[in-house]
Amino acid sequence: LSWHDAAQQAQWFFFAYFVVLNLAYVALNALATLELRKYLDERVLDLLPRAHSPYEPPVSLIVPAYNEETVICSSVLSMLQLEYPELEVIVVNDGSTDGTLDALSREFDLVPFPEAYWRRVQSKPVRGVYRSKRFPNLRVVDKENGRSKADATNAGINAAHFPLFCVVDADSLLDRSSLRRVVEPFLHDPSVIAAGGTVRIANGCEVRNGFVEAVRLPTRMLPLLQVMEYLRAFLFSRLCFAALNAVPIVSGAFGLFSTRAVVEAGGLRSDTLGEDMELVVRLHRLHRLAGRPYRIAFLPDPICWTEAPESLGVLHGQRTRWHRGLCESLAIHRALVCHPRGGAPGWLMLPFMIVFEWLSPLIEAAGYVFIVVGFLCGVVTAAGFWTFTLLAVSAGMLLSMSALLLEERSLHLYRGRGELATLCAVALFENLGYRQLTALWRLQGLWQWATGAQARWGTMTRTSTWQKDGQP
Amino acid sequence: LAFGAISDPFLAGAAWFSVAMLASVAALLATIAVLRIRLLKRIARWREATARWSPLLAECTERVPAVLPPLARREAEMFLVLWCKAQESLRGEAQQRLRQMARTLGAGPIARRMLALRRRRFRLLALVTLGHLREASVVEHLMDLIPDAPTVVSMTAAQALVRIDPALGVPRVLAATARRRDWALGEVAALLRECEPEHIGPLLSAAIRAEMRAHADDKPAFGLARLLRLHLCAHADAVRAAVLEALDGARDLEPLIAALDALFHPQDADRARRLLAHGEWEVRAAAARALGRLGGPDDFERLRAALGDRSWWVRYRAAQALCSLPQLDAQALSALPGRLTDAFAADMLRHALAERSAA
Repeated sequence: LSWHDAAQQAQWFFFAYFVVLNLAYVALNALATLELRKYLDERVLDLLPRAHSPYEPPVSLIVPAYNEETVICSSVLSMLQLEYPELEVIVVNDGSTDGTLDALSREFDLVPFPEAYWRRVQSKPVRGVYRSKRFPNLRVVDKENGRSKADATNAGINAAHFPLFCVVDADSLLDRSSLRRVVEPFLHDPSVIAAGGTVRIANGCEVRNGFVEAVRLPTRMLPLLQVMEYLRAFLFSRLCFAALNAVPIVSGAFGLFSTRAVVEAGGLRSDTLGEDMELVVRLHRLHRLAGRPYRIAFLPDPICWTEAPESLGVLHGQRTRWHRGLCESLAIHRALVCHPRGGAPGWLMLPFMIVFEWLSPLIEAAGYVFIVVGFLCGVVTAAGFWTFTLLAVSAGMLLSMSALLLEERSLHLYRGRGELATLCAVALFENLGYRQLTALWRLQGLWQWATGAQARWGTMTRTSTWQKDGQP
Repeated sequence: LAFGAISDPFLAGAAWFSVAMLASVAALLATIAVLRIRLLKRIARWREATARWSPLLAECTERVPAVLPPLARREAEMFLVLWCKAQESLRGEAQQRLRQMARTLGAGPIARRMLALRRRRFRLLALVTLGHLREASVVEHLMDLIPDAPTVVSMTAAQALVRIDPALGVPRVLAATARRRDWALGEVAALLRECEPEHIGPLLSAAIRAEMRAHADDKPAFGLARLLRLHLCAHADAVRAAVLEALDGARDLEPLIAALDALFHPQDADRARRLLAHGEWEVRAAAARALGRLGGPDDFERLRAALGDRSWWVRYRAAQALCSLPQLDAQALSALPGRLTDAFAADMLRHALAERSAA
């Protein structure tokens, strides 16, 4: 094989990968469209009044908090106002070094509570449990820092008294009906063990009393670009995989789980950065291999709003961590890949994630480097260079635009003047630099995973403008 | 490709593929724009329809005018949504007058036509409308939908049937509830609550007994458990005998626990006492819960012993039950944890006492 032949074959490989990757996503989009139509048709009944019943299972809302002094009180207050008949809120103070516990104590009038703490899953020692004198259904678990959200969540699971638990990030904004909606799959199918919903970007939205009152696009470029990414991530793949009972992840920002199923699975793993994905893939693996019926549901409704990073540094750290978490989850559960009892998760979801998510930054980045370097060295002709560039950019634009079409056909949340035009522009221009940049960050995550670099939680710099407006 | 010019057929193919994708992007952009225009028009139509029909609906709850404006075809869906909303937030005479209004406007034939459409949203709206209109002509169709139609369609059909003919609908709904695990019990309870509770009791008892007969063999009896959980929709006395029969005859955990949860009469506490020694912790926990509701001071020692159970849940329920037993000296109960030699039992009782004081 000559040098030239090798170069030619490499270029064909990159070309084929880009085409197959994008066709796979377009296929996901088509399936998601069908699913969404069926789902939205049933929502006509949501227009009618609806009463709560004693048949809705009680839910433990677990809020892991590490140095969340500025947002924790308003978040907990909004969670206590969720429309749901029976709910306990358990805030887990994960050894915060700021005034998180003091803030909670002041706001909610906490007193020590003699909890008969049951260590069903592993977590760092608990220093004390408190309950609110103002809200009998609010407890605070104060524990030693476990250096991971998973450890704090496990402590919350140990203190949970109800059959379902919901993990909510301290900075997540919910809809008043979020919990009611995410519980629905459990009511209609006793085999459901987990359910998640669509997470959207809160930056720019109008927020009152801890709830999103009006959906708006962010005004800054970086969150704006992430709006489009979230559209692609949630509406496309998760909706489609949900139809096959192969949801790869229930977002850590807001997800509902069967307490029993998670305890039997051993709780969340503290040694991975993608504890939310790892848990879901583990639940798939355990249930598939044991032949136990189960379902993991996904709702296309936006039920949770989260603050997106507004600086490149924070976004970089977040994406590197996310990709590393993905690598860890896929590596841990590789036994399920193409396992005879793997079903859709083993034969479809995991191979898809490996080929088009895990390896994609490597192949994408290698493709870009190969083309650019090849072009500069004269190995790739100008025609080849421009064709490849056009192909990569147009495929990205097609994907982003399909996601936007799906959004416009279904939820059409962004209705402000000029917002749709802005989104269209973002869908086109995010492919000219931003996607390539995130591919590089993901490649870095892949590298860190491969070399076993020390895992570190990054710090999320919050702007949370709604917290500064004097809203509780 | 690497060394070719644009005349290279593979390279040319790749270039044309890219151009096709860009053309698709342009087509999607245009589609999105059209969708947005249609959305804005639809919102405007909703506003118009709401402005036009809301005052009339409000007026009709008091008195139906002799002359009503015609219901335009393009407004039909929006009117039916507004009308159904009004129906579901009202009771009594006002509902009857709204029915009269809808019949005058020809809502019945419109809904029947909608029921024949393929789109699920039209079919669902039609089912709700026909139920509120008490359209007896669709009863057969509704009965066909209940056993096999998709969850939301069958449930909405069941609701319509119960509204149209409760005597015919309730037994069918109860039978379907036992079979269809996809029916949320809360939704079944909501539709049963539209009927008189004294009518539900005998029908629910009959359904429980029928389910017991149907599962006299070794099949799992999840249907029986589902029916037992509906006891809240009926007068407790009316289903007591059936619940006790189910409790005495139950072999599976689910119906046993559901029957324990349905016990309400102090005379039935003996059954709960017996089951406090059951081999499965779920049953022991349910028995402790039942004793918390039905038990008396005589159960103190029994529940105190259950505080030493190996299951956390049984200990928890026993502690809660102890805290809710009648005629117990509150001070003595508060001092009890200090006298217990089992540290787990003492911790649990402290926990339950603190919970009770917070409630």
